[in-house]
Amino acid sequence: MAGWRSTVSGIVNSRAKVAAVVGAVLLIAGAALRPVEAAMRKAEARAGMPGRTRRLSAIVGQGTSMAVLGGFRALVADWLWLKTYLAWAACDLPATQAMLRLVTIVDERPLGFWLNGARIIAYDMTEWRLRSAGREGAVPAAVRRRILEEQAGMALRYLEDARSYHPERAAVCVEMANIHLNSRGDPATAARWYRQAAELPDAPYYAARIYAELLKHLGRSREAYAWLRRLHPTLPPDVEAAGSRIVLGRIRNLERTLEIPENERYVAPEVDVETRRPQKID
Amino acid sequence: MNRVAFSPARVRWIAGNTFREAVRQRLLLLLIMVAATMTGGALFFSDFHFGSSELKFVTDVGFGALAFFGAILSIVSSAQFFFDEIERRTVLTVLAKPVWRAEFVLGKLGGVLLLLLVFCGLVTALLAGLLWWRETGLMKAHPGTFETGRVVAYAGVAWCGLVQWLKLSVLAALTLLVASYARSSLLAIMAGFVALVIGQLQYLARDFYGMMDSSLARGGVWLGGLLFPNFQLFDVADRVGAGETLSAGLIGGLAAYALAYMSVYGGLAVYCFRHREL
Repeated sequence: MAGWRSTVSGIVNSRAKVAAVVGAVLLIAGAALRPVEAAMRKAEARAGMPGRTRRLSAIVGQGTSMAVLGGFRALVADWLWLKTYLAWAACDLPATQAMLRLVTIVDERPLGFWLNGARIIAYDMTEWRLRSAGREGAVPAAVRRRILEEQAGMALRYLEDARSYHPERAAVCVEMANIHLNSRGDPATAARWYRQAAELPDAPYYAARIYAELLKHLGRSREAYAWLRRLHPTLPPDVEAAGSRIVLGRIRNLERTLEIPENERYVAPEVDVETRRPQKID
Repeated sequence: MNRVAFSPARVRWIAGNTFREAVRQRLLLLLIMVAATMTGGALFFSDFHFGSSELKFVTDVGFGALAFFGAILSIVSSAQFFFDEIERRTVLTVLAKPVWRAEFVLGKLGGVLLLLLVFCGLVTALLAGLLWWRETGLMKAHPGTFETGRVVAYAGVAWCGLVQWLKLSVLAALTLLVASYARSSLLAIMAGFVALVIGQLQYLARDFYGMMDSSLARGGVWLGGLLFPNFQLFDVADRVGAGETLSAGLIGGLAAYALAYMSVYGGLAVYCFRHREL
């Protein structure tokens, strides 16, 4: 009996000792590696994740939250985007609206979700509502105006959210400008957003040109002229999308319209034959 | 007690044997299934991308498959190949020869890491090939969208495959540690999956419990968090899918973090196995 007891006690003690050593080493290693982990977490800027999780759990249940947190965030967002597509194809306004929100709560990083979402809210949903309000041409102008305004407002709020995640992306500002221009018929505000887009590092060349065109449309031709004069020397002459020749043509047109004296007219910078870039002018 | 010196050559031999055993156990079948799923997914999304980037969908699906199947492969193979030797008593034959227990454990770990490397390499290569093929097709169909050339960062895809391998390697080492102490493969496999979930979600628990009033609970969670690696750090695939680039500093940091944990888990697995009754 005593021999049996001592054997059992020996095994238990040995296993307990091994477990204790393993636990202690893991704790020491974990503590030593914590600063490395903290530095990487800081770099990842995961602040706000607990809040995101609570929101997610409340909306989609814990299964989806677990999948998102378990490293399948992008995949879950893609799957939700496909569900959004199904709702959109069925012209199901409430479902599409809810899914668009959900997709960007799950993963706010892909710009495509925001931009396409805003277009759906501003344009497609407007059409759906107008269709359900009556036959084409039968919807009173006031109702039509109200629907356009409501949907545009909703899309703009959606894009404001996008801007809080992507403050440096010109595409968001361009989309806001488009909605102000196309849905709200407000060229002054649209111009402001095009200018904001044009001043961001990844701005498309056309944003600056549209800004000038809108200034002209608003009767602010002098501002448009000054803007284009500043813009032209920055445009690479060999990039078709930059539209350097188009901008120069518009400058000349404005000079004629505004009757700018010959000696005050814009002098285009000489193009360096080797670099094909405009030479710097003072 | 050991009359022969520790031999890396014997570690390599055991690793090679483990890898061959894995290949014989229908690993290729699993790879083909993953590949077929990805190919089918890519073709499906070519009709359903709905304005968003189709290439992003393909990337997300590919890395999702890599993470999911890779975790299963990592945990099951680590536990299974270890316990196979014990249950079939072949471990006694091996250890009767001049082979250190440390060589046996490290050889097993090496074999599983090689297996995971091949798995990650093949899936990543397949994913890159699919992306290239679809991107070429899209470039022909919509040349205006690709004015500046290809949009997929293939180097980022490759780095991402490597980071996934690092994560799966840490998981394999952790499972092997449990296997070296546990009495059954089922326990080791279950513990591996639990460790994966804890490692994936522990940072969240720390964030939540950090706000608690009870210092005892806070301390408990803090201590518990030290026992497991933070797997969330390795989730860089969705960043690549979203068009972000991975910095060299981040990849280097992750490699150092993974290597440190692999060393600790590997060392402890050797320690446990040396104290184990066979």
